[in-house]
Amino acid sequence: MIDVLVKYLHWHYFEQSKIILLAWKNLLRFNLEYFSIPTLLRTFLWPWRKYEDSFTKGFDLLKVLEVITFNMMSRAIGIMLRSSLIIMGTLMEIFILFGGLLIFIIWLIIPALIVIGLWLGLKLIF
Amino acid sequence: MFNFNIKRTRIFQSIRYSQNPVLKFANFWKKLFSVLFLISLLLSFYNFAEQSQSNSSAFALGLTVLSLTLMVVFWLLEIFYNSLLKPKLKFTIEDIFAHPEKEYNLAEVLDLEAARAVWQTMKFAKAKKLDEIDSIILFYFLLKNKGEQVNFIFFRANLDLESFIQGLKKEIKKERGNSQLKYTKDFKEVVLEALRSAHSEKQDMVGAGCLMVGLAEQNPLFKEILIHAELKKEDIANLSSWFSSAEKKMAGIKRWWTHDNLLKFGSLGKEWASGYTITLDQYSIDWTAIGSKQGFGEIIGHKTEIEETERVLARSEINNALLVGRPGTNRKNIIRAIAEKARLGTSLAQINHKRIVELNIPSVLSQTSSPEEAEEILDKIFHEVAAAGNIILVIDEFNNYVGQENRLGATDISGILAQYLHLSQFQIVAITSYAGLHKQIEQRPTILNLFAKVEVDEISEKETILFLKNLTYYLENKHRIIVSYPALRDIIKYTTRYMPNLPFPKKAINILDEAVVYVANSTNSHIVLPEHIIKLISDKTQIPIGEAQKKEKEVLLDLENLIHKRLINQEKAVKDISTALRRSRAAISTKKGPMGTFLFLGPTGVGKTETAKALAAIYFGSEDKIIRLDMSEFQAIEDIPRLIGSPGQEGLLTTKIREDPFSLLLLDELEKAHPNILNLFLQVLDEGHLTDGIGRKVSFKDSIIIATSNAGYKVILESIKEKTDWPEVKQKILDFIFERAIFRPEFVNRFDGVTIFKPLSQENLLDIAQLLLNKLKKNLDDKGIKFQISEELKEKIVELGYNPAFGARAMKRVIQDKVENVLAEAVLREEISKGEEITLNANFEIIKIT
Repeated sequence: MIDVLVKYLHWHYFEQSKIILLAWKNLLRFNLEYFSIPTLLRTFLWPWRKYEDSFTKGFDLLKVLEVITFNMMSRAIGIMLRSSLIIMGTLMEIFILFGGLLIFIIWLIIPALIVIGLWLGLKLIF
Repeated sequence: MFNFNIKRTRIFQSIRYSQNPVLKFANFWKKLFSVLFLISLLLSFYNFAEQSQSNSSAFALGLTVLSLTLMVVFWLLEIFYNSLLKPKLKFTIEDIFAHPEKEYNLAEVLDLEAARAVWQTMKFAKAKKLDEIDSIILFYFLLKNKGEQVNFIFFRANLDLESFIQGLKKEIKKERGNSQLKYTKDFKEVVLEALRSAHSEKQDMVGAGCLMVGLAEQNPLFKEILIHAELKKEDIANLSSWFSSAEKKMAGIKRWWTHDNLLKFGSLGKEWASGYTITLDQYSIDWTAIGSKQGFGEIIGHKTEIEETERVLARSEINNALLVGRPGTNRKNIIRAIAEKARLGTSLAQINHKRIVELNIPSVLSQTSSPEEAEEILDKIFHEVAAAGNIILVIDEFNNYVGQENRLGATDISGILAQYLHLSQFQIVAITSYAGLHKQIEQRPTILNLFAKVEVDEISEKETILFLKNLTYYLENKHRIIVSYPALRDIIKYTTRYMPNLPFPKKAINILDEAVVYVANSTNSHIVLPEHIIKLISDKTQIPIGEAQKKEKEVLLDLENLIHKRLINQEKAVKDISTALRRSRAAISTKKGPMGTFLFLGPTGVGKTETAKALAAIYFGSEDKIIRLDMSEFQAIEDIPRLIGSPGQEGLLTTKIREDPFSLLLLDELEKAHPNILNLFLQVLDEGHLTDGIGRKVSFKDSIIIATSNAGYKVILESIKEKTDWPEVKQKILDFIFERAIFRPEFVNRFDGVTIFKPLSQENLLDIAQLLLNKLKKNLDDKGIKFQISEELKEKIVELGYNPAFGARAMKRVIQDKVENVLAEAVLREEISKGEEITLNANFEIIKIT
């Protein structure tokens, strides 16, 4: 019986803790990739879906202004949409960070929680 | 030294834990308490809603907390228990083989199912105070436990587990001894063989399946049963490996939190830096989107081709790949593999996160009213692809769009495409066949030079069987039919042998699919067995497969007599052919070439061709099964393409053999063919195959080849005059042939038999006349007229019809002119009628007998 208990404690606090930390790390890493945060940051100022106009030969002030305005709007749309995804991804990252920490802490104290649960349950019943 | 102590292993602890009732039933308790938790939670909510302050609400709440706590407790115990059943190994199987001198405890690498059987064997031996622990006891407990692996192997091999167990029970020796408990030699061999099997299959542990492989090698009872079931040790090993890989796959999927598994969810926003492809999207199939929605399953085979294609696409220049392979080699799987790798970001940097999109050119052509309009749309599409920057374009049947005239489903896009092919941001994978490459694409070197060729071979037999194993689950589910492992194995075996012209995996997939449908709809069976596969392939190829059928066996054993019913004399030739066929059909023959190859030498009209016709009619079922080539039509070197084909021309020889491999090939007047043409047959006679003019391999392994020649016939006639001994005549003829360089010695040597046909004797001629007149007699019998064949008639026919230079050929003409004409006239004039009996005299006059 004692050896099973020792084995359990080793499994709970060493082996499974390692797995939880690894899963947490993978989720944090995956979240960044899922929301493409590095790619979005790298291409933050790029025109939206490569939509940009180019300057024609010769100089036509109106045409030049039109091109500049269009390209700025394209980039603005790109910035807006990329920002929204970056924000969502970041919020999700924070959620995973704190959520993972919470799960890890609960895992560490779960034996104590079990004892409390048993005591509380029996107390309420009787 | 054989170090095998189960008690000193970590897995032994697992066996003990597996008997602990608390751990063993943790899953059950977990489920029970989770149900209790839900009920008590509902009760608590009800009490809360009623705002009840009574004891019952406290009770409900207490029960909720307690059941939740116990649910968590048993959930933890369940996960803990599962981890105990698979302890970490002290050393690996690889270590055992790498360091044999360390004498590792071999029991350490057993899995739970195997270790449990070993432990029960030890306990049984101890209880019965046996001196020896042999493999039969181990086998008995291995099967009795009915573990997952054992059940799987017996189920898929279509073997009866219960009767096995009963049989083994009777075999166990129970004579009490002195409890020496020594392992017998066969027990040790079983363990060592199991270890070797696990090592070669790269398994982590020695499971029940590996032990069964060892038992298949060592246990006489198991060996005997496997032979009767037409199974071998390798089949048990394959089944064990099938189970292990399926188990590993399931375990991998369960670990959802690993990086590889998480990647399968894909990503968002990666294409936002790339351009839209509105026109392309209307006329294309997006393989990346398909992979994202439904996945592609395991991609089997073509590992080298996938890597090569990736390298080509990642180049800075000429980054366009041309996949060349036979239809049916699953070239599209390479596209799917690259699409999946790109989607998950596990390919090369220049390919990752790009969309793999297949352009549907027939769709463009069908929706446009003129070639100019189609060109405009295609130009727009290619422009979008180059501008977007994240597309790898795929064009299937590329040969239909290069150097073609505009017709249904085809056009020439090489002009428009050429402008884009040299751009590094324009990556394309074109798919074509060898025929398409040679006929169309090679005629346009400007286009061809902008591609890097990647040759796609068919996948190996081992990979095909993996393919079939995966497909089996889908088909079994769809049709509610089970596919036995022997059926899968036989699909590979028989399609390799009898459908060599079609590649893997297509031919195997087609046969499996058809077999399942056939069994589901046309038989009362619920399981696909080898006999169903044999029937299907036999019907498709028209070749009798498997153990020679009963009727065929009778024909083979009596072949000489059957042939002599329509052929007079030439016993040696008939014997040579018959023995060669018997060897081939009994699968005793070790030769690689055709079923039999014979060279018949002799004067004209002595029965050379008639022998071939008789064989075709009796063995192959019809004289139509003869592929007859008059080699005098191939006297020039330019005639080679007529024989073996060329781009745009089917070969007279190769096409017919491809379409009907189970045939008799008759090469008449062989000496008249051009020497280079004779050289072609060197490979056919030796290896049994030939490459045709389009590069396809044509197999002659199910054919019989008979070549006839009149070369040296004068030598025969002179020898008859000089009354030379017959064995000397053959040598004289061969010397004559070699001296005059009619045939080279290495060519003649490749034939299984060289038979000299004797000129026909007077007796032979009378017998031939009798045979020919018998046919006429039968026709008259059908009209109710009895025809008596007189000796004087036969002698007259022989006298008029035989010429030593021309053989018996003229006899048929004599019968036609002198006998048939007379009888035909008499019948029409009603000079003879039904019920009458007649004969003809030596002057061919009708004489009525009744």
